[in-house]
Amino acid sequence: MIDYEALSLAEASERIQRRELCPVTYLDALLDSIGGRNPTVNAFINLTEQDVDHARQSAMRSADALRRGENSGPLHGVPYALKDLIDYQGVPTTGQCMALASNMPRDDAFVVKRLKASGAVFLGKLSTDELACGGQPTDSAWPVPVNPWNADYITGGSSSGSAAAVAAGFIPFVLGTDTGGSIRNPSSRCGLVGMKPTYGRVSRGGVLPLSWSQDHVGPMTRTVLDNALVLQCIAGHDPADPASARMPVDSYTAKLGANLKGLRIGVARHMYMGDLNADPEQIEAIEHAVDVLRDTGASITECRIENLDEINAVARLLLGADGYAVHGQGLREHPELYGRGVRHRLVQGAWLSASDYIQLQQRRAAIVDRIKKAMSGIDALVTASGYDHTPKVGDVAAFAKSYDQQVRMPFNLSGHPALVLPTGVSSRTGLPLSMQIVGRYFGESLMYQIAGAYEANSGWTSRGPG
Amino acid sequence: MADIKHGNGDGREWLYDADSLRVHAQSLGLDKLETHDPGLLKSTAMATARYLAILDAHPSHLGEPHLVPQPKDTP
Repeated sequence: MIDYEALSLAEASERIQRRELCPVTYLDALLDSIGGRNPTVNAFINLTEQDVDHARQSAMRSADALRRGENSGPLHGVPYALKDLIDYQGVPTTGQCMALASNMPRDDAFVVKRLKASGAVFLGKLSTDELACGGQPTDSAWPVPVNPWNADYITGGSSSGSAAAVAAGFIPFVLGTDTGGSIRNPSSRCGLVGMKPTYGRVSRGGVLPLSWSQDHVGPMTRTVLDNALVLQCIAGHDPADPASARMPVDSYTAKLGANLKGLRIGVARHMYMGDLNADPEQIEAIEHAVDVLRDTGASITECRIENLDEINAVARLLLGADGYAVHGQGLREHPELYGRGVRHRLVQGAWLSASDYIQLQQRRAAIVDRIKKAMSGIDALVTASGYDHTPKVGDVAAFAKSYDQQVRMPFNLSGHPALVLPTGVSSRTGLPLSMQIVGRYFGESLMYQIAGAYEANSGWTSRGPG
Repeated sequence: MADIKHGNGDGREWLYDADSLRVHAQSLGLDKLETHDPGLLKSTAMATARYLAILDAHPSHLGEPHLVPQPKDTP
């Protein structure tokens, strides 16, 4: 008897490739899980009969292709879902904002075209905090996802439904977006591997924008290998995204399984024990992870990135200004179509002058240089992702505190790739703990090597709330 | 490059003054927002002011305008 919910992408793929698992059978098993538990978890939105039929036809085509000996690779026949910010032709992209309730994309996003070519099976759209603004909305017209590890707790956002879907075992991989930590925050809280790639590595073509210079698209999965397989599929140049890089795409699985001998890893302890202070359980888990990395061959050094408060302030102000540039007209003309959280976040950008914006970009240039300098002598940096225990649903004060306690935004501002992965479980809440690995530009392959080495040697083997 | 710094907070007094804020909001066409969500303008202006105050505490030398974000094609 196969536990379909527990299958990783790679495990499912292997069975599909060997024709031990039919893509249609796999899809139907996942649909059973979704049908049973999504009404509680609220990860998928608007999963209609038409969506299910579309997915089943796609799975049947994948099965037929395999029978003919045609195989598109590791994602062939594997179901996936998208944060409701990413265009899939024929399915509305709402950003869970009433102003966009009937927004029907005319084309697929670049990443969707890549996934279609890979033979992956699209299942549906996933819940998001409105317009990816974060903030755990309380006035959304859509049900808000809860944490599959314990439904009393939030998932974090803004890729809330994406994280909930993978953690619940509804689907082996999803794509999220990350403008200020929106892949990494919910991945941390739900025990997932979440990758925000280098700025420009993955196209944002066909993705609802929030901040043109801080938006990223990336995979969320239960294992490091799964994450690498998905990034391999979606990375690459897209002429339609002006920020898209022409850099060749590395093999993201080539270094998986290698030890860390010769690698230099910086630990930015001041980010979780100094400038900001993480919960002792988070600190203990990160310190243990650093020991594992050292035991696997890496040399560990201390690393500092100064003036975190300045960096976070610049990132938040730019996000507000960029977001207001996108949504300002709608907010001014139809404020009733936007949630309170979005109004509060984006109207902050209305108060900035053109000279403020230019000065922010100038500061940003200096900050980017500062981060590059801090990382110049190391291959990767390890620090915290989550700081506090995950707040309970409705605990507004705990959420507000946790919102400002983070060091994810610096790497949206600088464009460095940043990945989170689980480091254990809190004895207090039973929810996952996490760490963040930051790489050098286009250093995703090496980050997967480090994350994979930790995953293989940490003793942390749970893939979900089980 | 001249030794000019920004981040001294000059010229932002209007963010803290209700009447000035209202006039500024009208010029930006934000009236409907305030009507729909009373107090929104003050709370958002305060939030912006708080972040700007953090920058004021970190005077910064003017750098080259850098409007294309890193890393583009230069790892």
